[in-house]
Amino acid sequence: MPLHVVIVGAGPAGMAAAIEARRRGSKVTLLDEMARSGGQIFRQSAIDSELRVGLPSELKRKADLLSGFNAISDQIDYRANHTAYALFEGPELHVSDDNCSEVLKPDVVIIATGVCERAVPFPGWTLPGVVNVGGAQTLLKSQGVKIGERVVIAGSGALPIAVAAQLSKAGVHVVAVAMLYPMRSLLVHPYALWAGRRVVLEGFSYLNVLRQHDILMLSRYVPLRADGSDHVESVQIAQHDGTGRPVPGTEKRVGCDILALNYGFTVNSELAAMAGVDMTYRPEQGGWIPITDQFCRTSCSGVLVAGDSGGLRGAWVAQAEGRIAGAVASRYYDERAVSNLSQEMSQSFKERSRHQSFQKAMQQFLQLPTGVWGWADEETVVCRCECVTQKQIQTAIDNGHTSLNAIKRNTRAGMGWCGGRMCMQNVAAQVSVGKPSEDLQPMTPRPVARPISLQAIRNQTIP
Amino acid sequence: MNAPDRRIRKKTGDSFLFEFEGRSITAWPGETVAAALIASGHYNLRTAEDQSNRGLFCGIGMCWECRCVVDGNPNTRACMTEVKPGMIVRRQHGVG
Repeated sequence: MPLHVVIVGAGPAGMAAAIEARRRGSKVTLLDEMARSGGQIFRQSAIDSELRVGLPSELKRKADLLSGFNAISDQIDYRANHTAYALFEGPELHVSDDNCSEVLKPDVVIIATGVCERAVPFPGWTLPGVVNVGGAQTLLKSQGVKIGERVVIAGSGALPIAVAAQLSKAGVHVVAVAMLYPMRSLLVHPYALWAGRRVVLEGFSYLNVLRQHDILMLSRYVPLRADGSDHVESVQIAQHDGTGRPVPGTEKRVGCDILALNYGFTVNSELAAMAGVDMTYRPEQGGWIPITDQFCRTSCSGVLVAGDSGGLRGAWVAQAEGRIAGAVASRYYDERAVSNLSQEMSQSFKERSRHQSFQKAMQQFLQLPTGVWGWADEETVVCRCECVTQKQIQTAIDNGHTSLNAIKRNTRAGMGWCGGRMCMQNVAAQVSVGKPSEDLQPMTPRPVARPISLQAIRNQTIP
Repeated sequence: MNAPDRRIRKKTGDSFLFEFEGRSITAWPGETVAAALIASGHYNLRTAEDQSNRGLFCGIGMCWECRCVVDGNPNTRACMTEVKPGMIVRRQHGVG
């Protein structure tokens, strides 16, 4: 009997998993929140004339994966516009669209839900016009709309540089790019640079674009505050002392209509946590990470995790890992067949570890120094959904509520529409200042993991 | 003052109008509510419970900061909702 494999997420990992599991004869269901497959990195535009802002190599990889997926998409149960909002032991997966919900009881679930962006709170960061860097990129790539006329970018890692270059090429005036660390610190990892040479070359070509457009690149700069009445009009930035603390006297005020931020990522791991998967806290990889073995298996029977939702690892790793997870899922209950896969799919395993070594080197940029947690003042909102300020959270901590669950119960931080995705890591940082954080437990994820309509719950199908 | 147009090139298909806070806004097929509003310079989509103004933040449907009232339905994400001719979009105040 072929196994029923349900995959959550149609990005590089989920699509690759679907192709592989289908190829191996499994009955495949693929759920995705978006109207079109591709996830964030391979997002397909709803506009006829898609803007091709990526590099040729990236565009080819996207086209290859999408055509591979399109070739099998009518052989699987592919459900666009579907949300997976709960996962329990079994595995038992609860899914919904706008009007109906359904309980699925497959043999195996592959979680391939990716990441979302992370920003660090500071005064003014909730003003309209302060956005995530990836949000600005999505608007450009899939909608053909410039997010603003004068854009300041602040962040760390590779994405701010890529997006600064893409915006400049599209005719946006990128006023300044304020990076947390100098990029040259990558040079101490020559092997990793070689392993990730394709990505490194992409990076160089973006830096080249920034040079051609004469963009002001500032290393070791941080945002102090964003100001404006109903919309950001200027930002104040300053040099930091190496630990993220602004150095007095180095402040600059820059006029802009957009401030785009990226200080790393938050993995969408709440389904794994809800199912009881063993997790570990790794902020530089995206927060609470499900622990997996080399075959993408978790501590929970029938639950696999592939791609960025298992810790930030990039699209190349995600695609290789998706293939592995799809194959493992198809043979999940045959231990010998699974262990043979490391031989049979040695190419995918090799590709995954090669790109992973590059990603490890990149993670140094997403290791935020402790001083960044001093950017917020007492009145700064930390939990955007529930309008919970830094002071309210600090008061709860001072009153002895030092677990994230206790802070959530006492302040409502993390209880809003985003499900804690935007604030939980920042609350965790505030709790764990000066303390080791590996043992820090996340707020207990409960259904529903993502907002769904009451109507969808009323119209529920249970097998 | 003319509204800005932040589309990077001419779009295919026929444009149409929808309404935001009583103003007529031009949009093209396939655009999201957020894209059409930002293209014409509107960023402020909501006031939160603490009276602060909010707009698009993550841009990919995760943060729900851009939730507004679309055709009478509150808590509708501007970044995930395709704009349609004649749609009536309003800022959401508080819980909507």
